[in-house]
Amino acid sequence: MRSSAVRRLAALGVAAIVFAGCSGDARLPDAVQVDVPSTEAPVVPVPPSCTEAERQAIPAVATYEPTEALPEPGGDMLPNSTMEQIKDNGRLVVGVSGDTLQFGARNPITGDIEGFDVDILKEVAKAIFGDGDIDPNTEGVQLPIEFKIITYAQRLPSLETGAVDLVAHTMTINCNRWLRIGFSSEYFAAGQKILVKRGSGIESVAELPERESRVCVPSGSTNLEEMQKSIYDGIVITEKADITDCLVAFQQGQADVVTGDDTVLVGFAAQDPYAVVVGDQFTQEPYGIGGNADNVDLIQFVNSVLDDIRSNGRWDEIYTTWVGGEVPPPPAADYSRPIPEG
Amino acid sequence: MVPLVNATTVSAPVQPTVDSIVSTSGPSGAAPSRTAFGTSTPARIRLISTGTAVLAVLLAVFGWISISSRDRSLDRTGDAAARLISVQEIRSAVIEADSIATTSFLVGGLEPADQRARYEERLATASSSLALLSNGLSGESLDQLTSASSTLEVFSGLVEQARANNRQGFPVGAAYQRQASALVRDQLLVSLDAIEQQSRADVNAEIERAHQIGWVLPVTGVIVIGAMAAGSLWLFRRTRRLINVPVGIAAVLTIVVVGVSLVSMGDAVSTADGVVTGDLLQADRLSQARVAAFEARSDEALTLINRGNGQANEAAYLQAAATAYAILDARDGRQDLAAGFSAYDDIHNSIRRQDNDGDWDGAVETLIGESAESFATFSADIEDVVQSRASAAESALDDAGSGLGTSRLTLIIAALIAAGLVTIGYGQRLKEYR
Repeated sequence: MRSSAVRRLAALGVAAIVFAGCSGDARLPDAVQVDVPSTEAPVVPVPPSCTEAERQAIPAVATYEPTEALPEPGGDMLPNSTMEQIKDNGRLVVGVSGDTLQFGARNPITGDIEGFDVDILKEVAKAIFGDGDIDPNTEGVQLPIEFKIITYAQRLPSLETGAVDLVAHTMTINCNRWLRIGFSSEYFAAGQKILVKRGSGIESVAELPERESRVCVPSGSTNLEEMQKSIYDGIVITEKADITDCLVAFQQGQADVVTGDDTVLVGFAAQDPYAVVVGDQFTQEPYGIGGNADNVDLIQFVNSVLDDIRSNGRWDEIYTTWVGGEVPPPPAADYSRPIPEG
Repeated sequence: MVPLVNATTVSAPVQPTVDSIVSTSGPSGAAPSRTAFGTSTPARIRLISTGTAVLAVLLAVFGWISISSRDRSLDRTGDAAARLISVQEIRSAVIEADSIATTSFLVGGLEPADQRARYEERLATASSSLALLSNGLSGESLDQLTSASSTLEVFSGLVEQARANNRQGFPVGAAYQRQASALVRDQLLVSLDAIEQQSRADVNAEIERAHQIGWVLPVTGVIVIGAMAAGSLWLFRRTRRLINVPVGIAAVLTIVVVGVSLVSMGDAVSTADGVVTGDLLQADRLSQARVAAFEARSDEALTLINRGNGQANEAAYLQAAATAYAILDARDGRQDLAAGFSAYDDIHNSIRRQDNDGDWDGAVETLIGESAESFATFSADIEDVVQSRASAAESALDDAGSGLGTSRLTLIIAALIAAGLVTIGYGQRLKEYR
């Protein structure tokens, strides 16, 4: 108790202070500096990119055929499977957004993380651990699920390093990302729109280049990739770590426009009466649940869960809860991706 | 020069008498030496009298300058020390305000009223102390201060926006809170750090200057006493009159007053030295530990705000905690405070365990409960120690130079009296030639 690791490190600094205090003149030594060696290796991201041939070979939304039938929820998982490991760990660790209203956001009143993405992940957790216990205090379901709030830029790295088992974070399925991680079937069909100031006169994304608009996009997002296309030459791009930081930049007048998925932008408009979402979807953003590229069995398992909720009406319920309005048919699954050898 | 020439002509007739007295004992070489001077004995007496009196007046002037400049150096040391203490108080206030804002954010609209009051009090302290600090700052430091003041306003604005959004259940509040905390660390503390370093350098420069100017007074004193001794010796050789009472008194007076002045200056400087290496150093060090502890507290809350994803904040916590330990565990540190911080640090480890095991709610519970209590105890203890050391240092530095005013006045009066006594004393001898 008296000698934590930090304290031992600090002891190295103590020797330096004592030494500095020994000089003959009466003077104040400089401020104390103790450097704790960083345990984290710097991540150098070199995002791989699909070739045109790879793009053509297989649709991005294609995923692995689901497992034949799900085991009894809470029952024994397939031996040596990723699901069995998760069950042994006692909890499903997931990466979600903490500030995307309706998809993954912390409810400031209850402190719970809630939204469309969260409910989908809870279905996966139920399939592994069973329906969970009813909390006597809140009467809510207590599932063994651990939420890690991650930024847009951390979505792929957190899966690659195994920090989380699954990511549901308004994440678009695309070819480039398939090079690094695996995806479930599409669970939501979003598309990019733009958020502008009420009364700005901007009606579509096509006007942005000639207006030389200042556009805020999150780093490492498909929104950024879209805005970097040559047809948008003329706009001024501001990158932020997270899309909510873009709303802050918008409210502070550092950006005129936020481009993002309509799902996210609707949530922004709900937080700011002076912001409006305008124009049609100018991209297709099929959302998928991400998993580590090596955990093909987990992705197949998630696909089974998604198949179930599409057919048993649970998807419709989740849609009604978080999006509302007329419920469209759930996006169709494409299982044409071959399962890797081994 | 004119009276000197007159004196030569007037006293010419009596010269042989005097010469005959001198020649009985004086060396045969006295005549050429006298011719080289080109003056008679009374003229020389006058020369010695005037020269010694002028030197005594110079002693008054140089003594006045020397004591005054040392007094000013000590004053400036005190000012720089007060500035250092004040800027550290501002740093503590700002980082405490930030740590309250971040922990309050975790409990949302259910922020306890006393926490809110403390936040506002800390913010008000920081902003009024920043305004006071502008006196006596210049150049680079003043620019840093201006930037710190405006950043503080932006910070409080962002915290209010975070709260307002949070109260309405808007998740964008978290982004405002992140921006506010980032602003404190990346800009505000950096500006204050620069002023703090500058104040520390000012303390060192001024105390060094107080040491350096120590030679002026003793050298002048030695010259004056030397002149009195040399003049008396010459007079003794010429007149065989062993001692001239007024000149003797003047010499003794000069020796005493220079000695007393030197002792009181030495006292003042060594008192200041003692404060700088004692209370001020302790206040400086413990204040750094206090700031580091608040940084750690704020980082701890951020690890939970960035739920399950606070590695960067945890690394910052470890860095800040190591700084606090390094100071408190040092040989001249405070083991009692180190134990208090260690108790808090232990609870931090259990918060990390809870969060890492997926019990985020439990971790928040611990943070705002047990951990908050432990931290409050530690921070109140260290605040008491820092403040008592700081006020002891400030008043001791103020007192250090307080005796110098009296000794300056005494020196001036005594030196002028000595000048008068010298004139009277040599005047008595001069009368014997009339």
